Amino acid sequence: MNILFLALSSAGYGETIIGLSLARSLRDQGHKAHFIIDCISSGLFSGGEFPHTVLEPQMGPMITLVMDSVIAEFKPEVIVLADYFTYCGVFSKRYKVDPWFIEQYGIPIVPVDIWEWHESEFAIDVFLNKKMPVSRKILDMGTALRPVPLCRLSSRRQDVFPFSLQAGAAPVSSRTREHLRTALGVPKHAKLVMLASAKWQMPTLSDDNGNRLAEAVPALLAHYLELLPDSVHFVNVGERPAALSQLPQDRLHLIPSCAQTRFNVLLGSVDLFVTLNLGATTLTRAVMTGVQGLVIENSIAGVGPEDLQRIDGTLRLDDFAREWLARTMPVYPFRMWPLGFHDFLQPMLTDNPYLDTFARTQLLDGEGIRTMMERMLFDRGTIDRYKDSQQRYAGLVSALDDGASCFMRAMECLGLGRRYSR
Amino acid sequence: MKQLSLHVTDTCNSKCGFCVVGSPLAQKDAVHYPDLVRFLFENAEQGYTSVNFHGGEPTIHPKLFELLNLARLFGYPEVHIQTNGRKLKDSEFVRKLQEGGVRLFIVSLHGFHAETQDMLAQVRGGFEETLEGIRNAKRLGIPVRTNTVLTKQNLYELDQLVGLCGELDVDHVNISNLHPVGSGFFAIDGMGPAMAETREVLLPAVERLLAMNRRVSLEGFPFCVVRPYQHLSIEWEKRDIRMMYHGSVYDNYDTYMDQECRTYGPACQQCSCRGLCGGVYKEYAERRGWSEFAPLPAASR
Ligand code: SF4
Ligand code: SF4
Repeated sequence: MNILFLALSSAGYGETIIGLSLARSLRDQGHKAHFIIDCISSGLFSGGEFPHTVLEPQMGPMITLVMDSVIAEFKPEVIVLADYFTYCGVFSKRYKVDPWFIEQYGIPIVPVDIWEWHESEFAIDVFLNKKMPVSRKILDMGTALRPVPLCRLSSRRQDVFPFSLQAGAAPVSSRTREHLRTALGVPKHAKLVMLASAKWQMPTLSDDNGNRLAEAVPALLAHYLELLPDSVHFVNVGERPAALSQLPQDRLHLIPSCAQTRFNVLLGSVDLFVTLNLGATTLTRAVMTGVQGLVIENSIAGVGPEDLQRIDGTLRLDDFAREWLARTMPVYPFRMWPLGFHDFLQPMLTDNPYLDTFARTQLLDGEGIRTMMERMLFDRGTIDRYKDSQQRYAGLVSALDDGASCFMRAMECLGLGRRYSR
Repeated sequence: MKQLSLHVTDTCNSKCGFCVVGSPLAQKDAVHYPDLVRFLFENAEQGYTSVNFHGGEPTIHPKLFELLNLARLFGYPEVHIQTNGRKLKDSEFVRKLQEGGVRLFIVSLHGFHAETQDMLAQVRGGFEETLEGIRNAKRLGIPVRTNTVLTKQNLYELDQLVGLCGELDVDHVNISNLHPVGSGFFAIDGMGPAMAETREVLLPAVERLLAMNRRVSLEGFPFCVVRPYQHLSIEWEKRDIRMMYHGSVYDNYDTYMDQECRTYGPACQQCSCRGLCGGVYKEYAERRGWSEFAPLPAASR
């Protein structure tokens, strides 16, 4: 079967990675895939693994012509949206095209649903007092595929299929790990903490509150990191938030964004991955590879001085954090900094054993963050406990059906199963 | 020169911090032996004057002698091996390689002091093995070209290292710019010298080598960094190298390196050498920008 993947991540490329994982699983069953991607993801395809067509932002509505020609040449029998949300957003916002023009091709469509849309209210709390409505079209699409993680292991619906996402990278041998750390200049017994910053997390957003938090949060994070013992080194991959320069220069290693293979080796060589993005595919990759993960969220909303007192009373902020908060307010809750996604993610986080595989702390709980980081770096009991949880969870995920089997069941829901079963 | 070039293995018995192929990062050997055989076979009798085996470390390849036999069988006049030289400490092994058709060793020599090279290659005792390897090759009359990657760690012993090459009667000294890919991608901050530092030690070293009547070449340096010795750059001479790396064939290695690995910046716009000079390693420019480079006047070509 010829399957056309619309994988249009335009900020990070996590969604495209999920599409690639599904395509690999289908290729193993003899199916052919062609990808339509945004130029940002080109690097993922440089090895020539899958044929692909690259869309450039300046193409605007002309992309429909590109689509026409890919459809005419590749003759897909199914279109996969990898993922649904990105597809809806990118086609309408970036290319100014009604995303559902693809229905004119009369080709069955299977959406990949990374956010459990059926359980949501189709609105994302994206910034302070700002909700982003999202198309409800998926409810009429007859089926959906949910990658696990981040989605939960089961679905209440008969037409929605959670599949195991082959998300882990190959574990890194101790020889490689030692070599890489030496190459970086990390002493033998030092601990290495990894941070990753993507372009979309920089203060170039369309919302003033978003930009303020994008600008301010790295300073608070750097303050917490500075409190760690001298034996801790930091490696930041990707963008370089200015505030990171306050970390001791001899313990800070800055790496530009890099190819996935390089990134995986680096990720596999660190002791702890710290992120402010609970939905990050890098977090998934870390915990599925056996690397410790710490997610920092903010569940506190604060707009004025009375909130400051309340928050201080509850969390016993240190001086730096208190000043930081006074300077930065208003703040809004977030789980995918600098985007909110706080309430939106809640249903998906309920009864989700993925959350056992890493630690979570609150941004304003400085003492909690410091203690947790130290435990995750130095306390054998804590490290082993998370490793056990990661292994348990990996077992649960691998017991799920793979992408290709779930895809076939989705096809059955669309009344096309028999035609394509092998 | 028309050469066939084979990346025969990803694995290595050293762990150089700047390893361009990232050998110490490789989780397994991704080289498929039948690809090597096919490549040798397909290019036989096409006028190649030599075959170059490189890696990783070719001398630890379990089928090295089989590959040498194939090269001879398919009519390639000579084989060159790029090596860290450690296994060449065994003179009998060197003799067998010579018997197998090896006519040149390109040996990595990254320090004058044992501690420097051993630290860079992350192998204790490796330096002495390499020196012994070079001596063994020379005793058997096999030419040796050394390759030195300039790093912050060996920069200020380059002059002594050049002297050592003279003592060892090395035939050809190649000095390379650190290419920030493979392990070098992670090592550049700690190991990559600034271009001004490079010039400060490189130019006197080149002068000394020329005075010693040694053949000398420079690899991967932007011309403006090595002027007035840009004519010693490997890019200056026309080479015809067809390479296989992980099953993919690159018809012209030098063109591939220039187009895929190097880039031009603002300084290059008015440079008379643009095109001949391959430019700056992409990853270097990405990390350190363009302020270290300046266009060369018209007479520089
Ligand atoms: S000897 Fe060569 S292949 Fe081996 S680690 Fe050093 S640079 Fe890499
Ligand atoms: S200015 Fe650019 S092209 Fe000219 S020598 Fe320097 S790097 Fe090469």
